[in-house]
Amino acid sequence: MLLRRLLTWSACLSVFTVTAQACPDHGAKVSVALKARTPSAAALVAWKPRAWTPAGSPGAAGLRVSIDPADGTLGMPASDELATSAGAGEEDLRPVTVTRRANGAVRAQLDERWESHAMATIGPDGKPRWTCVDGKLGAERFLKQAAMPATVSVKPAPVWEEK
Amino acid sequence: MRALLQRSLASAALLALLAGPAAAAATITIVNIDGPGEGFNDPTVAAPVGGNPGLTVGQQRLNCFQEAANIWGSLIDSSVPILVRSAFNPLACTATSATLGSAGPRFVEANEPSFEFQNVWYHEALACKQAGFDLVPPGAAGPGDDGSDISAQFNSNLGNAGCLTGSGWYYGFDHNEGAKIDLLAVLLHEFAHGLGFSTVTSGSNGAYLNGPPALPALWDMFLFDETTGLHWDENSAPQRVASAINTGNLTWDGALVTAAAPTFLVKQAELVVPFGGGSLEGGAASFGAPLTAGGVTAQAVVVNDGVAATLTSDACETPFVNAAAIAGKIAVIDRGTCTFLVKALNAQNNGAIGAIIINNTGGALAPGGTDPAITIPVMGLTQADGTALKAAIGGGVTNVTMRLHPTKRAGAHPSGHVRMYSPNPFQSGSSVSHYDVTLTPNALMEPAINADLTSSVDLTVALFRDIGWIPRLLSAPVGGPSSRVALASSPNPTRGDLTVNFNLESEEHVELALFDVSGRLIRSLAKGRFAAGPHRVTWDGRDDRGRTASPGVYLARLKGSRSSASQTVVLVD
Repeated sequence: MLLRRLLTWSACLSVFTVTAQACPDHGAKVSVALKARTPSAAALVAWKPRAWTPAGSPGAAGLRVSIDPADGTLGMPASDELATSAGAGEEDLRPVTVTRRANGAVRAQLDERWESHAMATIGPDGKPRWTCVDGKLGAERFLKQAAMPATVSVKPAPVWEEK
Repeated sequence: MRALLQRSLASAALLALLAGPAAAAATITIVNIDGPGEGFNDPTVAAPVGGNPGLTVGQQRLNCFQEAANIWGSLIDSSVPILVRSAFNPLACTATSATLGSAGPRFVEANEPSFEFQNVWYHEALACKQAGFDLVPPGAAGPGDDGSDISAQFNSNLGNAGCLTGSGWYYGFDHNEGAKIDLLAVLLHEFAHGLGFSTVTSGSNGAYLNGPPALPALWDMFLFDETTGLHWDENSAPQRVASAINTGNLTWDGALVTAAAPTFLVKQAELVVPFGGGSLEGGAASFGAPLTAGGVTAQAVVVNDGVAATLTSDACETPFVNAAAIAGKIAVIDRGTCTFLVKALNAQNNGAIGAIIINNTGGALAPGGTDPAITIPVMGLTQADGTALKAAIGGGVTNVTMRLHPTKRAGAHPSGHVRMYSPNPFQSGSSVSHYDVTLTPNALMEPAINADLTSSVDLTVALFRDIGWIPRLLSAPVGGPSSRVALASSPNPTRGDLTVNFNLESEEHVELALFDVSGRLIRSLAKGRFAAGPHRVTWDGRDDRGRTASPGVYLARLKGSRSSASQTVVLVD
């Protein structure tokens, strides 16, 4: 806990420090950078990771699907499934690293939270269904919720049954 | 954000809207980071399968990755090699569910001066293409960093005991996966996300990836709310939250997807009814007789199969109690208990000449399955529409027509824009960054992947044109009239009092519209059948929503059934 607080304070201080250096005359800095534009990596000016957050679910790519318990067909999850699987309020708010180049360009380094996780389940008809969700947390939730019977028999030659 | 300067700079390369054939190519390299003897280097002997010539499991995996890379590489355009850091590792799974893998962009970039649009986040690979050089060369993101643009990791345990047991990867290229999982389809989908088919803006709280600076994603410039008339980069966070669940009204308004939609999407299934607006949007079944323009007209009758333990209207038992009333009519059936095929066949065997299956949950329903014995047309309805239909039937004889809509396309909004997935409630990971599930035929980038996909990447290519992956080339010379039509605008530059003249060589159906340089429709000026000879249309400087258009470069495009022409228009303050 103490270590986390120290790190947080350290991050906050670095934010203020960098902001103070970078912000006062932003326009002038950009115009200079345009004249001296270079694609070289040497032009990169690293910004320290700062305490900004991905603002809730980053909304990156993801696929999800549910199996209708009645007809065993593929469909979109019902509202009650979504309420538990969307993971609202459980967002990972770790900061990401931002780098600003001398020409005013900005880069954000994404992590696994922005990765689309492809997930699969075997439906009651024995066919695998695949979908994907956001980030590792979403993948873990998916696996926890995939409470399908473990004894399904896998049938060969599946057919497409539903969009 | 959309400064006139930037638009003018971009316009030289962008004065085009129709997706003509273009030479496109990019090199996508799979960076194998697996260790010896594992993943891509797994030496287990394998027989060639489905066009994949690999002789080991590892080789087949690598071939499959490279095949997906080659498919995308042949369609997009970049002088900067795209690196995909790739690995096969044991990932979390159980006997009945598994993490197949993960993929995504490693970085997003903004405000490189050569970017087409400023103050929006670009996925790394597209950013490099726009910059013309590698923005993250090896080592730039940290010591030893390989400089890859996309990361991808897939499950090496799939199909083994305890990991989706009995399934496993299918490494063929022919999408004949049987009971296995088609790795190539998964890769095509996931690579597309990594290449730019997603936003980094939150759909759950509407917040931008908030740097500093807080910026919308490039994606947001094309994500359009048909209700508010605003793009996601134009509205507030609360508006974006509302927009993300504005089911059926969140669209992609890039001109190239819109232009390609009629060639890809089939016509919308429709139920003509004697109440409400007179028309309900349906989902055509994948089985049974295809719907036609003329359609099937008959009285709609709710099925009663006599078994109340579930629903008497689920049509799971036969013969129906009201078989006599169903004969020669259109059967109205509730979803649930048994498969769509059973329901439809039962209806047919009880004499119905058509069947309507009503969803038992939110959203659209397009019944799926295959059974050549079913020969009557079948369509799905939303739960809400089904309830309205049953209420009408309860009030008296209700004649309906199952048919194809004369103009609307399945998956497109009445505006012509293709719908994006926006269910209510919001689905993190699926909403906003996928095409809607109502698209027919199915598209690669729907949130639910369907087994009828091929390596054709359908409307996704058009979307990649919209966001700048592929040159937006005209099918007719810019500013030069074709031999069949002349187009001229004056004054040009204009302050918003533009007159567009066109002269047709012969009578034909034409559409005249204004687009911005990103290809977005600004204003539809004329549409219909015009006689041969001169015609004049005026533009008042406003967009389709009545708002004053921003100063900048626009393109007036006239597209006819036999001719087309376009002209640059400059709007000044």
